[in-house]
Amino acid sequence: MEIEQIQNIDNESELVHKAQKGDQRAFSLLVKKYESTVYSFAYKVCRNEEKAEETLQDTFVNVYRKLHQFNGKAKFSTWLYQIVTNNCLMKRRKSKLDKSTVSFELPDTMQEESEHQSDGTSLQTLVSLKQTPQDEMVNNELRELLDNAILKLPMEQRIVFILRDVEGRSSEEAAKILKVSIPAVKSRLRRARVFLRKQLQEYMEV
Amino acid sequence: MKTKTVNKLRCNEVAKYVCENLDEHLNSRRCREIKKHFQTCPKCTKQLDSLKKTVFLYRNCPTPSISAQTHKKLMAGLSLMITKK
Repeated sequence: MEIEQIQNIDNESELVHKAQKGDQRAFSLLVKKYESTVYSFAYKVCRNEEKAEETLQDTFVNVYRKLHQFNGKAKFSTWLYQIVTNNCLMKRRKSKLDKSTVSFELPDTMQEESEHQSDGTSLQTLVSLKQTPQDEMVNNELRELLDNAILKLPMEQRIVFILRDVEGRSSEEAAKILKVSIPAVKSRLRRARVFLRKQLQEYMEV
Repeated sequence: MKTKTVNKLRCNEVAKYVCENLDEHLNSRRCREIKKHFQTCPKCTKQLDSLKKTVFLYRNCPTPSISAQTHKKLMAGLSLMITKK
């Protein structure tokens, strides 16, 4: 039902406008529409589910607080990416302090109930049920290699690489999100690609 | 000797250009020249392949979906924040 509600609102700017005027239902619909995008992006940057969840929470708290500042000149998704990338950068800077995060704790009962989907099946994790133990081992090794390599990149380069090569955003949009020039995006992207290729070279030559 | 130096420079130039513009769908004169270069340079072709594989691996690396628990926690927290305001 809620998915239908989201789909029925073709005009996103109308939804944003309503949320800006204090319509809580419109704000909830915006959250539901974009929570997966934000979580997925944060995970790709942090390579850690806990950090991705914290970034998700921080991002939507900031969206709520700053929604009145959104003027509609850029796409809402571009503005949202600006907030989530800022949160990723801040999290990196303040990682040792661990005080920048707004933590939402759930009652125990809600946590237990949430471990299963509404249809009774367990939540899908990274590993497909159809994988053999050998596939799983190779996949785990590869994922570890990919995680380790990308985590060595400076955050600015990592974010550009994810926006451009993983999320498929254009250089123009990445430049808007990061508030840098297009040549700066291309330069960071080149350095990130060269670095990651070198890191994975051994794996690719096997 | 001179040719080798020219080739080396050319390859560096190609590598820089490709690393900046991979996936941009460009069709400039420079782009066409670089495509020609690949036809005669196995070293650059190998580097381009490994670059494409790197991007492919990251693009296809599975990402966990947002869990029902995380969703509920987010909505409950936001709701609490809005109510307090």
